Amino acid sequence: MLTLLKALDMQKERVVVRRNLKVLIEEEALFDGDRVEIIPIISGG
Amino acid sequence: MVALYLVDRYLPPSTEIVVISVDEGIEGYRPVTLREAEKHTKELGLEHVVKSFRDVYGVTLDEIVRTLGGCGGDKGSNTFSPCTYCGVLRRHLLNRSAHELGLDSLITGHTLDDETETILMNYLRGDLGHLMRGSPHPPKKPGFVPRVKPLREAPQKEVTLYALLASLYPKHVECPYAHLAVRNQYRNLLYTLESWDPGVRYSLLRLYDQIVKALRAYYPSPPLNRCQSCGEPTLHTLCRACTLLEGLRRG
Repeated sequence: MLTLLKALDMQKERVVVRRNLKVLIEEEALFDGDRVEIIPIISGG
Repeated sequence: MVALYLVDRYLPPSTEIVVISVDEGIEGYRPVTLREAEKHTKELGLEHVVKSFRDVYGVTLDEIVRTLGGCGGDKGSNTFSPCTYCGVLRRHLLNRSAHELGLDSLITGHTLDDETETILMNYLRGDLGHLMRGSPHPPKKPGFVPRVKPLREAPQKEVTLYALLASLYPKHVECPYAHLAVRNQYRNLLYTLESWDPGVRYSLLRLYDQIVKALRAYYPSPPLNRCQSCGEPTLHTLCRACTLLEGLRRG
C-alpha cells in the first residue's frame, strides 16, 4: 500500500485506503486486480 | 462531528450540551455542512445554535474575499489569506456566543495534527506570545471561556478512521479556501517528518507541554483589557477581530 501511495505522491497521513470497504493498514500488500478506495482526510469544520 | 459524538457519549448525562455552528458565509460549502450538523444534533437530541458572520459582523467570508481582491491575499499581496479573517472571526464569535449562552466551557474538535501544526508554526516564526497562549490553558482568564480539546492527542487520520467506522464521515467537500491556508505548509512538513521519524508529532506536543509549563514562571500572562468596540478580552485597545473588521471598513 505504501508503494502505491508513493507512486501517487500522496502522504500516508493524508489518506485512508480501503479495499472492499475494509480499511487497510499501511503494511498490507496489494495484488493485481484489487480495487481500492483512497479517502482523503478532511480537516476543519 | 467526532468530538461531538464522543462528548455526548462520555460526559455525564446531566451535562447540558449546546452545539454551536459558525456560518462564515462560504457558498457551496457551509450550507451543506450546516445541514449535516443539523441532522447530527437532531439525532442526538441536542440544541443547535447557528451564528453567522452576516448577522454578527454584517459581512460574509465570501464578501471579505471579494473585498480583498480575490483569493490569496490582501489586494494581491500575501499579507492575509481568507483563513486569517476566518480563524480570527470564528474564535471571536465562538467565545462571544459561549458567553451569551452562559456556557462553562467550549469544546472543539482540534486534533494532534492541528495542535502540532500550530506549535511548529509559532516556533518557526519565533512567536513566543502566541506559543504561550496555546493549550493546555493556564488558569482561567477573565473574559475567555475555557477551551477543551478532547481530540488533542488523536491524529487526524485516526479521527477520520473513527468517522468512517461510525458512519460519521462527512459527505461535504473541503472548504474552497482550505488550500490557501499558510498552515498547509507546516502540516506538509510535519507529515514529511512523521514519515522519516514516526511519533514526531507526539514528541513535539510533549516537549511543548513541558516547555510552556516552565516558561510560564518567567513570562506570566500579561493583563487583559476589554476591547473598546466589542468588549471581548484583548491585549490591546481593540481586539484582533475588530481591528480586521475596521480595516475592511476603511478599505
